[in-house]
Amino acid sequence: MAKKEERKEVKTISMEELNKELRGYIAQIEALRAEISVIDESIANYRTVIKTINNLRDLGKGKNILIPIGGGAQIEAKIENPDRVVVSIGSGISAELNAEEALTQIAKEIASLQSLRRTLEQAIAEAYAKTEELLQKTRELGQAEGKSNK
Amino acid sequence: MDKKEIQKTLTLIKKLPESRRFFYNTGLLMVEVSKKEAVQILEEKLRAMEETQHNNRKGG
Repeated sequence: MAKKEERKEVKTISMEELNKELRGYIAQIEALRAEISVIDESIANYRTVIKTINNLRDLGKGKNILIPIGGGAQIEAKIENPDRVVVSIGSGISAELNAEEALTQIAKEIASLQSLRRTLEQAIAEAYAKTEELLQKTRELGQAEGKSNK
Repeated sequence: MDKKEIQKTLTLIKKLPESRRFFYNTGLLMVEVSKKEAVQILEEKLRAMEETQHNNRKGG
């Protein structure tokens, strides 16, 4: 009788542990998904920049543009040289690049973000597999507990 | 910002010609700096990071 109680205790702890681990993996998946959506947003921003650089180059010198200054307000400016773009090159430094260089730099950033995204997707897939595995274990444990209670 | 990022930026800066304009982000404002100044700022940051790491290792 004492042995049966003991076994039941071990199973209860295991179930709790499984649930805890499961919750951990679910939280991990959610965090990874959030990170992926931040990356997607950055990629979308970079694509907009590419479009803007190309459009400004097509329009040429001397075009009047409106620069947003926040609060829905815009200030008028003139494009002096659409082939000169100031781009952040990391560590708080921005450099003046020509449009081609800027586009290459942005393409590199996109590629590195996409590679990071793939790594995160892989991590999600692994966490999913682990979740499935744990769910299966939980089901099995539940069934075993059900039988032993009968 | 880590050492790797700073080193990457330094390599990029060094590749660009002297005539290019550089800006340093001071928080709200971007300040124009020369190529030499940009390199100095980053090298200083690297040195400070290495010193901190060294001190942490010594302390730990």
